[in-house]
Amino acid sequence: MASLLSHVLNGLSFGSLLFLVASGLTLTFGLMRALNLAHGAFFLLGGYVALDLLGRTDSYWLAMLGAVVVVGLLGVAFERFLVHRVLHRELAQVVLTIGAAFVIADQILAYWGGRPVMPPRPPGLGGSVTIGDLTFPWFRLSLIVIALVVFVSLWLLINRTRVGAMIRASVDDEEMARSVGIRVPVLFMAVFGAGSALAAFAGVWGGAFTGLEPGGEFSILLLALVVTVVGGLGSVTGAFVAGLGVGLVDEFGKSLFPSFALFTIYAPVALLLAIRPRGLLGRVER
Amino acid sequence: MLDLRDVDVYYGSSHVLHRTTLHVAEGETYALLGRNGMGKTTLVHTVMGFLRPRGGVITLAGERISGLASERIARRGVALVPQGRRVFPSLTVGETLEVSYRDGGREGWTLTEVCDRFPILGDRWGQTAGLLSGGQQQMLAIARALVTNSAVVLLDEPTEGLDPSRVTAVADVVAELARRGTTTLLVEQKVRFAVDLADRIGVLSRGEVVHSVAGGSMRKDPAPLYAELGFT
Repeated sequence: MASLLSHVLNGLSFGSLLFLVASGLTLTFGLMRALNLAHGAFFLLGGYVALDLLGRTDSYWLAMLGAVVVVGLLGVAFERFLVHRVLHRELAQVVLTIGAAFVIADQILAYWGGRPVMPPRPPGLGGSVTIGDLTFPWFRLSLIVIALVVFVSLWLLINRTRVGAMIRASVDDEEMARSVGIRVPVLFMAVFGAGSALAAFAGVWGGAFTGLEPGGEFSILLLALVVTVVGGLGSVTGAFVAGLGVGLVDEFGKSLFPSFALFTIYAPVALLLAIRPRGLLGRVER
Repeated sequence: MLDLRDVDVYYGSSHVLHRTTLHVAEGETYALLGRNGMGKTTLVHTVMGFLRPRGGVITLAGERISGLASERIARRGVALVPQGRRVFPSLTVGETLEVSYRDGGREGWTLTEVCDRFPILGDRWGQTAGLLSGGQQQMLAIARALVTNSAVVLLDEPTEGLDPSRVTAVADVVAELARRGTTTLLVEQKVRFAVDLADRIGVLSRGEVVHSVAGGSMRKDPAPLYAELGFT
């Protein structure tokens, strides 16, 4: 029983991390249809910048804030000067953003070296909690709570605020949104910045789970893309459900069929998308 | 108020508007008639900034708006009721009107006022626009333009596909816009509807305004307009 609970919690905590990364991608790719293949690189950069700032300030929270702000602003500039020029042109987006991912990863390699690093856990989350026979790290539990908070906040932002309605209007019909005076380019730039900041936050908080190393940006990107697509493009709820689902499938797959770890993630995903191409909660394209 | 001077617009290599010139005076209701494919929607989209003219200039109250982004044109005071409604399907009626609303002062449209004029919108305030019927969506598309409280309203075939009672409701709105001094460019195929409402009427043919007359002169006998349009 303790073993089953352990697998479930491990799966949920990894799934929560996947949602944290995918939440940013849900904003940029899911809503704006801006395929940002540098999203994994922003995740990595967030973790490294935080580590660097931690060394300078000795404050975890300051370092995290700094990393989120720096990468968020980088995302804003990236959208404003580059991505904005290739919106609605998928192939150009792929080439541009994958190029940016390589550039960022190379810069990380140049500044911080190629050795894997393990960022520290957030202060106060170093111990473990005992649930019956099971001892489980507080840090991993915190991931589930953080993912839940991010999910609820994003859902409320998109579905219950004026800004959220403006974002949805812009996604529904960009021309008409502009014709009622919505500043769509500014809105998209802000959304892209928020998505990048979320990737950085996931890199800081979740980096202590996955570890960080140049090259890791594509593995995390691939999982985040899976979560975003399975959840359904543009659906935060879908991404949350898919994140937890993929986390659980990954955990149980590795445990039950260790030799087929990748197969157990991607086979159900392929099957799901074959049956339901718009993902769990994605909208039907008009 | 709204001036187009020698405006040239292309779709790719297809030349749609040919040195089009049009003047709509402040507070005037100008109806632009034309058969399908003559460039009416292209003209409206060009004014709204969806399309950029390759030549000529468009001004609003003397200030150039051609070449500006649509949102800037909208904020200068131009609103559009597009052909085919184009409501925001994922927004509720209430959200649609709230994100579009700009304060228009004492003479401006309020959210309450548009709901009084189109009671169905108040009744369906929390309903997703994509789930409204076609007629209800058209009322919403009109209300969305009204609550921007723009000085110029462009209506692109606003009665298309509507039942007679709703056509009357649209006519009432156009008349009310005139009463409030709003400049209105009404693009239509229905000659009688346009003639009854417009101060002046123009006919667009192959991207050029080929005929422009006072609306009053056509009310008794619109036959010349039908002839100009090629209707028998």
